[in-house]
Amino acid sequence: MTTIDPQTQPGKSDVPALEVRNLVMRFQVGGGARPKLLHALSDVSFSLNRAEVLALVGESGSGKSTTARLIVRLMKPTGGKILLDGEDVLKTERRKASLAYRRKVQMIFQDPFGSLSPNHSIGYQLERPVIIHKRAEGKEAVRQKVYELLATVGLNPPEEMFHKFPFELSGGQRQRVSVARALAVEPEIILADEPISMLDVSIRMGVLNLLYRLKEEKKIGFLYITHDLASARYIGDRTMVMYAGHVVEHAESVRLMDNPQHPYTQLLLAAVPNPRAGLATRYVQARGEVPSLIDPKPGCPFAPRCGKVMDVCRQSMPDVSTVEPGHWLRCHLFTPDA
Amino acid sequence: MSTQPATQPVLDVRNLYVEYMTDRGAVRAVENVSFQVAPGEVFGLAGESGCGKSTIAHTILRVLRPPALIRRGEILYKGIDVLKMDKMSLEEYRKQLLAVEGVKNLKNTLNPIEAFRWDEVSMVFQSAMNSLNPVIRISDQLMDTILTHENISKDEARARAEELMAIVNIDKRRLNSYPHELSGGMRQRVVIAIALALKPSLMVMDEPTTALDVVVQKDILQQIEELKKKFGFSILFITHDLSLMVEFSDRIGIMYAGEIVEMAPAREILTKPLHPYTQGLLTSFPSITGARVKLTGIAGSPPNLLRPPEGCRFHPRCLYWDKVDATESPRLEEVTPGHFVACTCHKQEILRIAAE
Repeated sequence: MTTIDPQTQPGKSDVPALEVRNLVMRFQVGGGARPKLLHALSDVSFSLNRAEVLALVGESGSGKSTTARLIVRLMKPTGGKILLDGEDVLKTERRKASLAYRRKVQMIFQDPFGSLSPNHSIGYQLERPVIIHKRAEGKEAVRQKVYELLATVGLNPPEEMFHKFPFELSGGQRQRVSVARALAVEPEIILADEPISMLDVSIRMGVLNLLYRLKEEKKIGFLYITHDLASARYIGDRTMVMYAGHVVEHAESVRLMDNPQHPYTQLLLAAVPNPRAGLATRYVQARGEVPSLIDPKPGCPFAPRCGKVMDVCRQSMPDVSTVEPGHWLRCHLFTPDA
Repeated sequence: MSTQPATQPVLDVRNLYVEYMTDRGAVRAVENVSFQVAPGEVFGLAGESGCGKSTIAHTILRVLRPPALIRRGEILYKGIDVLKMDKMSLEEYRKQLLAVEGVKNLKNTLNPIEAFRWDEVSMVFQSAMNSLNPVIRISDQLMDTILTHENISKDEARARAEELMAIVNIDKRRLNSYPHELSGGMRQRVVIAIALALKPSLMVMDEPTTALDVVVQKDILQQIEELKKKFGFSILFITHDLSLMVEFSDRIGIMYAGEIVEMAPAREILTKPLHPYTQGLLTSFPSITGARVKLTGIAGSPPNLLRPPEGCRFHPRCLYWDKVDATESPRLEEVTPGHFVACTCHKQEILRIAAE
């Protein structure tokens, strides 16, 4: 199932469908005379093409979901640019995302129980985006379009599913409805925030395979957000590792997991349960947890836990170093790009 | 039909049936489940949500409440029937326990179930956030546990609390903290310290690391492993994460829709899965190494236990289902020493693979 396309740095070929440049997000916490700043995202840049899956992995609180929320424009970033087909949407658009933007960028949420309205039938919930975005005109055409969507995501027979309510469906079926709803507007980009983590294990692969098929058939670009490295390797063409609001390493997925360079990525991979290796064989070196993001200290956020920490790590955030085409990281152990 | 470990098991669950009574009928959550946990062993129960893993854990600790109903079965803790403790006097309980263990410094105000719970079998719950009281200091939560059970002074209890914190690698100054002041991993370590407080012989761990990040998860599991070596308790380990389970357990029982469908040493579950459900479950986890291959998972979804499928509960999703045998409910049978499978239609093939 591997079709590897290590399209990495922007500007290499045509304009990518989505590009994010130096995205920064700070939240104000605490009131009073001296409010503090929580640095949720610091200097995040990447691009995403159509027909590819970019996996975004990291521990909780690393800024994965904030990235998705900024791109889908539920919040306004503190700084940086979001370019859709080469156009800076934060400049050209008003405060909120326009219909035209939503037609291109859609999102699938983690919780299939909370993201569907319990009061409306599946058919109704899928008709709404079709009507609002004018993907079909006339009652009959709209209904046909919804049947098509249901069949695409594997909810058969569509005529029956159309009249069901969310409570009648299992978690996996509900998540398929969420996928169908995102597909209704025929988007270019879908942001999938932990789409399988709330599902039963035996049906997870079904949903992941569906996303993969949509990428292949409909040429949709997916930003797949997860904390599960194995699934990122399974479906992601490329993988980006986030730590405390920074992207610390990026490479083609299999390359990254087979040959991690950043100490944090190495730690993360050593911690993934791997029954074929056994518990004692790979002892986790770094103890401790993710640092506080409120008024963080200067330097690399991983420095307090890093086994190879140097003086410079506590002073400045490292620049990007490219170790091979498409594989770059931010770590002082490597020589930065000129 | 049960495994016979050389020594007397710490826990022996025999033909357990548990139901939840609802307006729409009885939900048959646990059906004819039998397994044993040997001293110092980690026995894993793996399965998807709703398969009855947690119900079993709660039954063992006697914390199930109506509408749950224990229909039938026995749960023997070192030979003492846990399900009959309601009718026992504390004296009787003491006498029975004395036969298998040393003297315990138990308080007279407890009833046998209260004395048994935590003193003999303790539990680590999934969410540390919810199992610690947010408005009580860590020290008081640890000391309460000790003082409720044992006749000792407050100062002694305080000393024990400090000892426990040292055991789980937390600075004793943290005793004065409230739960919200600790990180997720620390909170989970406190929960483990509380579970260790009375030196139980068995610890039930229900998804102890599910809410944690992988790095912290690994750290905590390594710590539990060390503590187990030091104190020699057994663990009943419950999780849906099969990779974690195989890595951490000695033996594993795979549950589906309230029944154990396969039981074997951990390695064998991985290298020689025999039940079609176990085989399907193993194709539901992508690997972190090796070639990228397409995985299928299992088609369909787990059944509604109000009306479970007739016969083998897995048959509507099974690849090998042979329609003739559908009504017969398969029993757990030993195919090779220590490896049990409950499957009728795929039996020939199972025996062939098992013989390899």
